[in-house]
Amino acid sequence: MSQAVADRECRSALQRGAPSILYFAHGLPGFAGLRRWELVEHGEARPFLWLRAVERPQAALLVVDPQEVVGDYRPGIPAGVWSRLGNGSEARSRRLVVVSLSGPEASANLRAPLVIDPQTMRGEQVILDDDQWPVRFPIAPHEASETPPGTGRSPACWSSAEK
Amino acid sequence: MLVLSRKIGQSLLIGNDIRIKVVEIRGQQVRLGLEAPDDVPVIREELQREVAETNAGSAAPDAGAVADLAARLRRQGPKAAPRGEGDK
Repeated sequence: MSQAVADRECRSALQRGAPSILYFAHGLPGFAGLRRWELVEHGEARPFLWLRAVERPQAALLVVDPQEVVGDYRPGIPAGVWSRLGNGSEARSRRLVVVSLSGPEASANLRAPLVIDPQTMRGEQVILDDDQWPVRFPIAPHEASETPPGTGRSPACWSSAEK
Repeated sequence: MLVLSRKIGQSLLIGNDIRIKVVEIRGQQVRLGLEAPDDVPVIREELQREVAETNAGSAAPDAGAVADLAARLRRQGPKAAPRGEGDK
């Protein structure tokens, strides 16, 4: 499945039906009091999405479907999460991970996935007990020979060469 | 802050439905048992703080840097999952 298709499926699952605003009853660590968030896409940033606070649009986290950055990501989500998501179900839930770009290298927080139920539109940033999953998992490091901007944009030819 | 002494096996109640029990004391470490309703998340404070820091580090990065990162990720694809080597 191409990344574009995966993106589209992720978006449609999250945006199915109204309302399109996600409710984080416990807020997000570091953003106290902001409970309503919306996912915003930006072509250049694909497969990344922005999770933007409705009440404070300048508060926007960079997020991504974990499948895009790590293979075989199957964290154990504590049972209490599903009732907090409004009888959410693991099967239909979506996960997103927060991406940090504060230094030269980027990392994804696999320890604290955002778990979202697209039906109830509730979400929670779940902090896992399992220390297998690092808070700062390095992603997409700079390549030894960076290709000039504007080239190498086709994922198909590059990902097949990697494997 | 309220400070109370407890022995092994003794508990504290917070409200009607949160119970914290001292299970074991081993040197500098205390093992606690917690019972709380499903709607109350229980989180280790230092982890919560670390997640808050990484969330803040994610907020509003430069759009150009994000586009570069996205291009690299599209080229490189996902990486293998870490195998229980612990948290950094």
